[in-house]
Amino acid sequence: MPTDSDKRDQDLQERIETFVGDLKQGTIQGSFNVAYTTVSLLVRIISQTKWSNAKELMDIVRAEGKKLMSSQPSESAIGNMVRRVLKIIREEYASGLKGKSEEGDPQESLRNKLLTAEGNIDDFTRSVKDLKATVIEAMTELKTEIETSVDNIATQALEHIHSNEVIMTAGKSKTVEAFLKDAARYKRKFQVIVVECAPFYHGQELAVSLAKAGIETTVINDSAVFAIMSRVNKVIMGTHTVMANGGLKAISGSHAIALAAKHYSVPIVVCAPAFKLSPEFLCSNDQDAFNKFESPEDVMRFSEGKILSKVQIYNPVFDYVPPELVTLYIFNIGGTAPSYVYRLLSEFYHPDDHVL
Amino acid sequence: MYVCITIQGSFNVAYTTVSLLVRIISQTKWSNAKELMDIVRAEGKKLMSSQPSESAIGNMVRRVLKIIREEYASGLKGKSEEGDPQESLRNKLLTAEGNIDDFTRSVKDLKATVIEAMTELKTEIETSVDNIATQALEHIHSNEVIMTAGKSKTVEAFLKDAARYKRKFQVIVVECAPFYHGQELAVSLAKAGIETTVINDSAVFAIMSRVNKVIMGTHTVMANGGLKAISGSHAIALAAKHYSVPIVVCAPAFKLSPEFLCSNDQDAFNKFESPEDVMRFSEGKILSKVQIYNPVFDYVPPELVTLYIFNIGGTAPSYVYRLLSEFYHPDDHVL
Repeated sequence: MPTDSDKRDQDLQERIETFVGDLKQGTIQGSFNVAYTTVSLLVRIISQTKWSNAKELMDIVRAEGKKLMSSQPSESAIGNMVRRVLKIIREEYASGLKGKSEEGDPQESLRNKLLTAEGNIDDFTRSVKDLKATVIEAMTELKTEIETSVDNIATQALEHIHSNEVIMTAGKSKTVEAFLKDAARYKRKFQVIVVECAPFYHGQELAVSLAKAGIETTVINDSAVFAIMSRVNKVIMGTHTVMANGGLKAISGSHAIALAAKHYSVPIVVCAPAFKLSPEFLCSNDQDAFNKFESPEDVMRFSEGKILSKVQIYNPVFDYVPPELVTLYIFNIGGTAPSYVYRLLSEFYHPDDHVL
Repeated sequence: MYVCITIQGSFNVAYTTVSLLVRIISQTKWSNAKELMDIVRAEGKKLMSSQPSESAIGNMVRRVLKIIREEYASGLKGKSEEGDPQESLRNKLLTAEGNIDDFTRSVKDLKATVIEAMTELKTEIETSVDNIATQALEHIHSNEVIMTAGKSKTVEAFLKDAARYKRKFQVIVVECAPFYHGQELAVSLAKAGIETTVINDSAVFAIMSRVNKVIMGTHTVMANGGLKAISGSHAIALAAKHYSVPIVVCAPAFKLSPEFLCSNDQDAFNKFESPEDVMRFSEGKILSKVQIYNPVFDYVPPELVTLYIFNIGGTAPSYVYRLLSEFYHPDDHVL
């Protein structure tokens, strides 16, 4: 006879399978939803599975996390959230051992980490009082941070968008859209030039949305970027992932925009919520390993069969932008230089979790 | 012959030099081209030594010597028609025709043809500023932000001409301390109805990101395509290079000099004005402790210039050497 706990287990398994299925089919739209669903799922896993100490919990989280990550390897937000949760578990365990219930020093300096061996806890098997409760509480804070990240970034808009500026953006980033609309809401007058980003043309959707908010918007082709760049004051872009070296894994076309901006010394500002920061490096320029490819139908219709047999058509989704081309990152925690990203990494993730 | 150094501007210097040389040629006694060239060279050297920084004098003397050589050569050939103006570099290299060693043969009506050619030269000098100004509309587009520095007659005419054809644009003038000529230019442009802003020299880099092109005048165009322009021009050129802003230099052809920058020694290259403009003599206590310089010119290397607008049209800096061989003869480069 199925007990309540069995039913709960079954329910949990169903949820995990549904999520994995959605990821594989690509029906979940946007990193935000992926990150939020991942954390919610991990909260359920932590509260419903049986574990006796921190080590077992981390093994469970790691195993489930790997399953989720393998269903959609290009969605780095999954791996980022799993690593955040592991870091939370480690922190709560460490502070539980110390017997203090207050928060760890948020400004724990790099020097501290290097000189005290305190960070190196090898034994996670000791029992800690109320570990489950503290971990779930911290994860709820994490969920709140994810939910409010776009708003936190948008509130910084007025510092970066000045009056009568010409701003260029590309594709359709929810973060950038909120950023620009927030500045417009405070009656700042500026113009936006949106690069339409073939072959997906998300830029056109963004342009419609900005125009409805009363912002003076122009849509341009990808090929017109260099010609227009001399009249642009700053480029504000979104990204899919921020890599560990401070580089970007952004939509296809971003590298070309970044190079044009570099030529005219136009600053590039990247708006990204913290859950997009990944501890992964670009280890290979092999596009098969780094990139994701969509159907080439968008580039050249299948009906043009005669040519199709003679050419190879690729439709990559992502572009790598090296960190030298980015001027500023605007995370929900504030503005950062690309050279400072490694510091944020050690704040969010534990080195042992970089490879799950 | 006494050349007064109170003459303002290269235009007046060049025009007066040519007028003086016309008189010299018509009034002194000479029997053949060689004697004439020696007279012109001697008088020219005297004029040049009175104000070495005014390269326009030397340029005009060399133009006149080239005119004499050309008229002599075509007189010898017996034709009275004009030499081929598009005489190619290849032609010059392959035919030995250019190398005339003997200038002592008598040529009919040499004086008349030389003076006629020099009158054309005077006309060219007079109309050079207008010829440059007529090219303004091709270079100044609607709603552009243009930066300029100091007060160049050529640039002033250039900008006013575009405004006269109702082109709407803004001008940012760098005031160029310690002479502040930029302020005079700003007043003049504002009277012509052009939207003008004056900025400090220190604000150039900050403003440069919003500038579409820089249009400058210069004192001299050097043989390598570089500039000897007013102090502050190099800083502006470097700022423009950083933002990939094109630099357009408007210069009449009489400013093109066959001299190269052979030494970065400012004492040899530059001219210095009284340091009173930089720091008043009344601040005596500091004066004894510091060295104060007030250089007039700046050297701008040719890599920083995008386009030259001469009265004969637009040219790239790398093409300037070609114009040199068109205007001056190699033997006259050192007078």
